[in-house]
Amino acid sequence: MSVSGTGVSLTVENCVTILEWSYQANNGVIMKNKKQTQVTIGVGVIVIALIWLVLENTRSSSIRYFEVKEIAAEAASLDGRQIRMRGKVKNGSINKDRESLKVRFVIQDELGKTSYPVEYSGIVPDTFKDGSEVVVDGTFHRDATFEATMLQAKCPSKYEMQDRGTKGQMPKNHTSAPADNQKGY
Amino acid sequence: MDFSKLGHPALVFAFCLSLYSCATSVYGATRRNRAWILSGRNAAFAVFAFLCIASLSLIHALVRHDFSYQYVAEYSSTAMPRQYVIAAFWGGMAGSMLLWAWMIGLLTTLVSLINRRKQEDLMPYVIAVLMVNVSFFLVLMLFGANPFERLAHPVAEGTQLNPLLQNPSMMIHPPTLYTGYVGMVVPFAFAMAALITGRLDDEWIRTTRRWTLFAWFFLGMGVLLGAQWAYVELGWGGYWGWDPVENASLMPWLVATAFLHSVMIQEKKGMLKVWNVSLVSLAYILSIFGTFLTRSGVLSSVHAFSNSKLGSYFLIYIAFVVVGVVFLIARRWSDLQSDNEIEGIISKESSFLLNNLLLLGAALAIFWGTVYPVISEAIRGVKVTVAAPYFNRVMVPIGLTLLVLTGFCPLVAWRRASPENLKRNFKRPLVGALLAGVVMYLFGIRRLLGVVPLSCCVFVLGTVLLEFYRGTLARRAMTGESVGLSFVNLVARNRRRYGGYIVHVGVVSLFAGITGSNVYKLEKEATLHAGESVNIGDYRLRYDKMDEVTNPERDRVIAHLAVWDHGRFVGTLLPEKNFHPDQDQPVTETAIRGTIRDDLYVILVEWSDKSAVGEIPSATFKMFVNPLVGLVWLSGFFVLLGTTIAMLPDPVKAPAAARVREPAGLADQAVPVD
Repeated sequence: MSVSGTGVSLTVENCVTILEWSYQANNGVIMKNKKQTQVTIGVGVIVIALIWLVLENTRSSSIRYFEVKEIAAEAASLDGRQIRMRGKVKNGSINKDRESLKVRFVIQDELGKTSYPVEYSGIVPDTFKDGSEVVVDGTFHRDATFEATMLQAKCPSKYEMQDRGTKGQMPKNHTSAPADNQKGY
Repeated sequence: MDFSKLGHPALVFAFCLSLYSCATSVYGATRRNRAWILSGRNAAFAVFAFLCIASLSLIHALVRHDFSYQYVAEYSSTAMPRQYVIAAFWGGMAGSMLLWAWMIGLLTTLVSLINRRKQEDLMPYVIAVLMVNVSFFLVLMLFGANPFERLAHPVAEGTQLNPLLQNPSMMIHPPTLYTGYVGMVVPFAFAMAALITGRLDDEWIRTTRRWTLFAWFFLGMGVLLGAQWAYVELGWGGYWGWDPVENASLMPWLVATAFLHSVMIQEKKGMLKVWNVSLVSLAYILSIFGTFLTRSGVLSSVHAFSNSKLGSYFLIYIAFVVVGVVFLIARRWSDLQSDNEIEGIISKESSFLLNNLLLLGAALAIFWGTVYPVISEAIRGVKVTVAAPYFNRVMVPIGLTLLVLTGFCPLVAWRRASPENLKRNFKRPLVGALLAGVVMYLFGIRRLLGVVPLSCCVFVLGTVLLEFYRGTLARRAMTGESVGLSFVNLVARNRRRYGGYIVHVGVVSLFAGITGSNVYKLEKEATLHAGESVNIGDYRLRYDKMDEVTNPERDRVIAHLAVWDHGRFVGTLLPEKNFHPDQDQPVTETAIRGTIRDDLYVILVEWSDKSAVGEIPSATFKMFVNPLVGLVWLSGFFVLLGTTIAMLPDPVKAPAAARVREPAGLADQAVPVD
């Protein structure tokens, strides 16, 4: 067979090599190569399955995360979607209904310009009160109340890194870091 | 004299000595000069001595409430009980770095002493690697977070520790976890020494086998203790939320578990050498990463990450380690090739490989889920969050497969499993599992997501029991000892193997507990007036009264709930809310009644204002029934037992040359030899 082109001649070479291998008298060699291929394929299948598992679930489980003030720009497209919102609890807006065990409040941005009503039924963390920084997961409705399924609240102090102003100075608020952030489900 | 003043100079001395030790150890090793090597080793001892001085001076400052030190003022106060003042040592970044450094110093000393007449080729490089690690943490302390930083204006009183952290777990959980993290440095150092010297047989593995087990054990216990703390203290009814901080500790443990298994393949068959070196390096890197994540809160947002100076130091170090490891592996590539190959698709080797792929896959999946939000924001500018649903959906299939492998792998034959081998080993456990499934179904336990894992647990238990049973009987037939004696000697002479099986029983317990408490969990919220009752599952709870206790340390509001289980009165649960003087919000104290069957878990959510004195307010409670959650904690005891047995020194020293390479079919024979 005489053909031109490096690619094709390389393929021909490979074919010849494979043919040589398969004509080798030693059965063990054939068996070993076949096993190696099987193992490689097996490993490959598992790796691909794992990658698929991860990527598929990242796509379907990740929720977009917004500061309250960022929502206004995309409010139309987000209507009815599951999102996560972060903002502050508007002072005086917390309304706890003891009978239905729902909590209603208003979440607003730092400047108090944009705000949305939120309704949540579930355990309210101890850190949840006027002025708390809150994170809520749930369904956004442009012209109705945000239905929250998860509520996290942080008291108005902060994390070690943001906190540390200058070396040699005490941070402004005196609470130790780790479990400031409390969750309610 | 103010002993604490010694702290900072001690760190400086330790830093200089660690660099000296590293340099002389390497120089002495390359020139084969004993004097230099010894000097390097002694310098390492001195580093530890100075770190002891530094640690003691920090403790001294804490105990004396010396609030001229920033660290002392930030993490302790005079109102805190003594044990939490000492625990404040590891309360923040700077102290944690010192704890790390001190622990490495301790391990270096121990490793040097244990191996002072052995491993002469490897030890100088081991010490060098350990010293590089120590100097990294010293750099962090000297140029980043200094535990001995002084306040420009000393304060009169320090910061009260968050009451959530004021419980015994705070004393045990961080040091346990750190012991695990730091422990991984030792096998890593030996692996690097092996790569550098070219001594790439399993000598480094055998030397570090107990260290790896030790580190793995403490890492696992640290994770479990953290989960238990979350369960009892955080009050949301669960114990694992796939929080970045939780994930940071789980990832190195998963990789270490993979490593523990894959080294067996290298020891028995000389395979997976590159894999093992890479795994131990990854476990080490993830330990460093885990420490950093936990103490710095960087994953709360991208901005926190980029603003952090320490963050860049960590990343640079991790990058340096990665480049170093890759370089060393590439240099020795040909020496790292396997002595054997996988011969059968269904074999012990292939099952171990699958086990490793899954464990590593799990660790990487968790890593991905944890950093994806940061990546997404940095690259696409879109902020996302990846929460529990992702992790649960990814981990459940991986976990179930691993569970089945836990039963399958120990019994399957080396090289290639024949159908007879498979039938002999697995028919009975499989039948047992199927029967268990049917029995569960008949008893009303129907949900597939619960029945399948629980049946798998029965399968694994079956294989373990089969191994113990056959082993004991075979030994009895061979030696004529009684059943009891045979059993004891069987375990005593094969401690790794049977210790490992007991650890697997712990794994079964863990999976059973996780399945029960997630799939069959019951949840209910109710507002009750005094005397009213509520039912949840087979429990009935009656709200009887509310106590208010005033106390200088904290005010307590305690609700009394009488509990009936299947109609029988079993006691009173006392959920409370505590109000601490300088904390803005109350702390929930959960009330838990735990049995092996389930936990009844109650939180006092809130209560109405009383209109009249003496009137009992109506109160809202959140209740959970968590079936089998006790098995999660019980798994810790099995792991402890199994690991202890596996780590005990072997009674009979096998000659080094007689490494057992089990030919096909030996796994069938009931006389196990490690």
